[in-house]
Amino acid sequence: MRRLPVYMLVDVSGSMSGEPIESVKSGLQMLVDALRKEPRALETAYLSVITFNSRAQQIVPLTDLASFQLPEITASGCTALGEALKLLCDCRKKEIIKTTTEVKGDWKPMVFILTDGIPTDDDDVLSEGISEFHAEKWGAAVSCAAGPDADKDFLDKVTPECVVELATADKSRLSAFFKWVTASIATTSKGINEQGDGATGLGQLPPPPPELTIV
Amino acid sequence: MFIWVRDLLQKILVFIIPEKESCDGSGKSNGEQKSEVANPLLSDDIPYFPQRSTDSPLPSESNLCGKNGIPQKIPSEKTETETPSSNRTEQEEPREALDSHIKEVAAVLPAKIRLSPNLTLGKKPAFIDYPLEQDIRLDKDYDETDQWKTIKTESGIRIIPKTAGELDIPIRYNNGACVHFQLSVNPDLSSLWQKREPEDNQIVFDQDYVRLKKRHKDLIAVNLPGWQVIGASRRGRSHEHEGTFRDDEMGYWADEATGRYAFFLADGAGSARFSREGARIAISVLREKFGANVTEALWKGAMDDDTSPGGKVGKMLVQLAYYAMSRIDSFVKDSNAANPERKWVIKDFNTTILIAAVKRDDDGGIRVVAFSIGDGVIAGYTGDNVRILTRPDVGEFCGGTRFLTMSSVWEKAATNWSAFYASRLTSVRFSPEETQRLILFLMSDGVSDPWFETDAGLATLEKWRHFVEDGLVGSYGGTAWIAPSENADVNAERLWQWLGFEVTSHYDDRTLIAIYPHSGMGKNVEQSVQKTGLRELNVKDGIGNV
Repeated sequence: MRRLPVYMLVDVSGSMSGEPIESVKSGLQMLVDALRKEPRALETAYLSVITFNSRAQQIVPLTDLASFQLPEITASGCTALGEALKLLCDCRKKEIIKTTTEVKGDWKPMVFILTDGIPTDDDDVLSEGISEFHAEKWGAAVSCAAGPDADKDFLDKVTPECVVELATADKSRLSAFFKWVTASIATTSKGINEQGDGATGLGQLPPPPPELTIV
Repeated sequence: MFIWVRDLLQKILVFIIPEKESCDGSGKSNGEQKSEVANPLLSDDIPYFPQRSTDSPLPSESNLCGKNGIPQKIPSEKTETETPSSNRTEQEEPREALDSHIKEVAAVLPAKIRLSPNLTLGKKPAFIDYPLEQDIRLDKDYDETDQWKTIKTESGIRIIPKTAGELDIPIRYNNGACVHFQLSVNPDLSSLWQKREPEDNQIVFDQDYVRLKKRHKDLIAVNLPGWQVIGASRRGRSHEHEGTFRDDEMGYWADEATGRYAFFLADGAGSARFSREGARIAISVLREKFGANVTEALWKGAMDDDTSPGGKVGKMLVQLAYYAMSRIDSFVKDSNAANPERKWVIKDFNTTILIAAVKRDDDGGIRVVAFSIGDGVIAGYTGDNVRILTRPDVGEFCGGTRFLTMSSVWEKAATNWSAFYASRLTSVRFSPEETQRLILFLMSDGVSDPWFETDAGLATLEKWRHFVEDGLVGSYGGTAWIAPSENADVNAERLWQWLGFEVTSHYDDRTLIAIYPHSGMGKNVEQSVQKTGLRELNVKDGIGNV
């Protein structure tokens, strides 16, 4: 069976503490609940959560929606986004089934990156993270700059032409972001079965809600 | 005194129940709890627990937990009472001392316990047994709401979900403590799949000219001399769920007198708005052209002398496919000319095409020339061998397929026709002995993908055995699927039923045509009217009359 892998990269640095992190948690739970009601998503979508603060950590390995359980998330520390990108590529190598002549592998993974700050890794880690990320083929890969302090320029280097922005990282805007991610996954899980390939850019995803500005 | 107790109670509430509504059993998860919760241990000797306070005006039974999921708040006359600040100051000393006790209480009393694993309705396990320490007693041996049931067991508590969703199950202990069990329950997958009829905006394909309906089911059932042909086309689960029409289309042409037959299958692209109409036009053109005199003349001479890929028959098939594409193209142009606001493009009508031309030889063998653009499979299976007559046809981008209706396909073909013939046409002869065991298949990728998955899978005889013997044949209790009945109609109906097989992540329309020797059959080709889909054609000015 061909899976639709979805990786969520979530900033859990200190600046996310309080309302933002609570909104991320409820947003992720809402995403899982909603996708469980859509049969094609429930059958094909697999979800992984990678968090990053001073270190990057895959807190949920690629898991089918039916078994998915969201662990506790707390916010503290810096913003190791470069390390998170490297970890993402490592996880992808381990977890994604490749297409061979014998087996049709997984669909190209979707990636959603959410951050409210500026990456704090060393420059070489950052550039390694970007180049490793670009060395892989992804389905839709979208970055979300949550709030005014997010580094949009860096995000544009990671996911060119695929950066969306939230004016602030408050509950209603983050909730709108997660709803849009949910719709994007649902649409893709439907589309790959009809079109034979997943979405690759913003153009093939549902239109973002008013809270999300395309950068 | 009661104000002091109330304050204490509220403090504890803050620790135990982070949100006001968290005892309402509504299934909301506030996610504010620590994850290290594990043991709902409650010791009887923990002081200051609300119901221990006999001075308290609270009912002797704690209100911390709602019954049957109904939220219960602290009686309003208490919560609404203004607390004079002087009272608070008076109580400050003992309250600070109490804080440490409260922390101890909180440490052993998790407000929430996330149960693992998640359950799925209709699947085992249907419940979770949660062990409790010996000295913990439940307030109730049995509790039930419309979302869940709990039953006391020898060693703990059994939680049985009744509905899907994020369940929040408040469990009260006999000392008044309340723990919320959190349980994710997945819906029964089969209950999520809907079967919807297309709405009017689906049916009205072109309001001015053509109202097109399409049956969700199409059958071919025909007995030719010595052969039976059955075909079935079935709307996929995805279309059923969305309330949209089937995009597959099939057809055949037979000339009894000369022993020449042709079979067609078109798979409209799921991503194209009017692909089912593209598929329908393509099949309709092929049926018409095969019957036409001009084709017949070419066809008659051609099959005898040359069936190589670049031979006359092959060229004829390519010409007919090109003609089908042109007809779709002119339909789009004519429609746009009549109504410029449409701005249809031929891409909206994207469809694949499979054609198998069959000629019976005098010695009892047959020859097959096959042409295809896009995915789908034509294959001859003889039990001990399989010959695939289609070639992989993927576009420049991985995973994409090509379509009859793509101009790039034809532009590229025109630059080198012999290369195009060689890449898209195949020709095969089955000996008389092979022909007796032959089943010639045409199938859309909705059938081939779940059974063969890859091109390597298609080339594997074992997979074909599995497909025919465990799949088609096995589905009829081990009796031969091929011609289990003399009656082609019955066989086609059985085939259609079988095409409803469920495989995870495969939702496409499914179309299969099978041609196989069927000795002793009478010549009843005149009865072989194809059961075409129900169509309402309101044609004006001839547009759409293809």
